[in-house]
Amino acid sequence: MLAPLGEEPSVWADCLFFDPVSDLAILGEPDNQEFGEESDAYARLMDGRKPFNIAAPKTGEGYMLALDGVAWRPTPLKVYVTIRGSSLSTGATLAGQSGSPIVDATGRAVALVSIGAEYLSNGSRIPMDAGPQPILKFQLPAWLLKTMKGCHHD
Amino acid sequence: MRKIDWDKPLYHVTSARNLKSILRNGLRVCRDPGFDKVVYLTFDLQIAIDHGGNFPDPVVLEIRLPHSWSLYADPYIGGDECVVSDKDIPPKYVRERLAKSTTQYSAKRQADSVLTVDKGRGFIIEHRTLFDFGNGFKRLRRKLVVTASHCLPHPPVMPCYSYQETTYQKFACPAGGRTQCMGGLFIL
Repeated sequence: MLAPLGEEPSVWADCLFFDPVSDLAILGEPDNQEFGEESDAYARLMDGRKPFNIAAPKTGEGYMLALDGVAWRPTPLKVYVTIRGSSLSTGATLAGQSGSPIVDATGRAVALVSIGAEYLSNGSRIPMDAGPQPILKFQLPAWLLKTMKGCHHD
Repeated sequence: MRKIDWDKPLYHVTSARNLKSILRNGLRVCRDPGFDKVVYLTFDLQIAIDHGGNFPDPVVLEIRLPHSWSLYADPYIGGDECVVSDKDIPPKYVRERLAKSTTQYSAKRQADSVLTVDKGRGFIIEHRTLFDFGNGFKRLRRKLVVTASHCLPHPPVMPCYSYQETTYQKFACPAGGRTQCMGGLFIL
């Protein structure tokens, strides 16, 4: 299921949360009693990788990780307030970016890439602004938001 | 813990809204129940700047302590770069090092925290919770992966009550074989 970017998935993960409406899921470590080796592999994959902090989005400039897995491309973030709550749209997204974090100017994850949009022009597909993307501060479950890194105690 | 070079400063990052109070009263140890009553410090300015991502308006403080000050290894972060003080640090040892505008985060450093999740991607976040290890509640940190639900091959099987129910046994199988799907543990 999991692997470093660009590699074939080989690491197991346990599904902790699944929300098909907001298109968000959370994966965690497999049970270390039942799946000892798989749990160790998960720990090795996570080792040394710095977790993203979470923030609420603001209209302005954001960044998305390009398909090469190296460059962070700037993208306009637009926050709308609708009768259903806040909504976020971004610049064009590409197939293969699904699940990538959308970060703000300070590197905090505000949303993830869920949806793309394009239109046809002279037979070619032209990507266009995409949304709504799931806003982490609003769509992650309360048990996680209350205690995760980013909700920091001084 | 590494040998401390007292001629070099230590760093602490906090929210700008706390700055006025800290410069007046000093850095106080955490008083929230369940958390260690310490002040977190680091030798590495970059670590402090990166940690500033926890705050909407980060400010890095520079701390120069006297040689007699007691510092301890950080039991959670570990490594040689972070230490804790179990005493309040008076304001005379503290000064503002970097303003908010200069603590811009280098997002490039975190590209390796984005992972492949099946045919899509996901990224790592940290979940902090309190857990009783037998000697009182302590912080437990674990890394989780956030992804788009449509990146998963299929939803977990309800009711997802226990890990036995949320486990795929031998999800990967020989070509032509039938996978046994019993829940939400995935492997490809």
